[in-house]
Amino acid sequence: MDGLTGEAGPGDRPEPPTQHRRPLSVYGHGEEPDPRFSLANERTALAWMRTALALVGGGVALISVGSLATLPKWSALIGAAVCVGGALLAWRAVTGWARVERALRHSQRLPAPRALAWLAGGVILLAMLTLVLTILQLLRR
Amino acid sequence: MTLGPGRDGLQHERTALAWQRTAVTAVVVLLPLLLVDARLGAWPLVVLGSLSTLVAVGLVGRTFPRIRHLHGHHGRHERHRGLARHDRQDRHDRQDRHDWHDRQDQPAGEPSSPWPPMRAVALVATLTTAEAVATALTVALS
Repeated sequence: MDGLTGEAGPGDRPEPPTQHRRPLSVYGHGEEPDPRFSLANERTALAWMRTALALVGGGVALISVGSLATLPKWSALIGAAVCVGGALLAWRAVTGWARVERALRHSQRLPAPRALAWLAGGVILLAMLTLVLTILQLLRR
Repeated sequence: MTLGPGRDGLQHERTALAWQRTAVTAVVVLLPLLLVDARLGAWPLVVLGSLSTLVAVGLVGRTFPRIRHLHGHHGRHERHRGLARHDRQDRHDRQDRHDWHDRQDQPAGEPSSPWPPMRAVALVATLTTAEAVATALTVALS
């Protein structure tokens, strides 16, 4: 009990059972963080998930345009590569959420968002590849 | 210190909206591929894509319990907002933690973890990618 206000403090309650919350690798340890932090972590993971879906959508668009218009065939392959990157990023969002939630539950420092550098690097690489292939295509004409 | 109204209620609302946006995107992203496959005459891919779309709808359906869960707690926070308006900040924070503990006391059937629907959306992205790679190979080899 809180001595000043007569109310029960957060530490006075026993930790709730976590058996029905998955994954146990996240919820099986540590203490409940502030709900606002958990929800913010969830929204961040969803933002990553939408970024991943946007990549997949971009790849799908590239494949679609490549098949409907008379674009070179490598554009479809680049679209497929973008889709693969999107799928990898989607799973990275799931594992990233778990890592941050675990850090929150153990009151540890949050892990650095390394996926951001990988995403930027991947997008730059694919853009450069597309540029080079386009220039080669133009020179061949 | 007085905070803006609905600070905690908005947290749930924003998270539920983020889930809705993600679910809609996940369902829509596969559809253009179906049209392309149909136009290419790659009927096995059309069948595969249609099945993937059905699976995607089913998987994305797993996000709705989470959205319902978040909306349910939004209402509870709305009630607390009236109380908190006349309260001190530390009391407000304590109430937040009580709500959070209450939330964990739900029956086992109702998911309170974002992990299962998040995994489902990642699976949808993977299905779409598989379909996209197959379509891209069809386009490249045709």
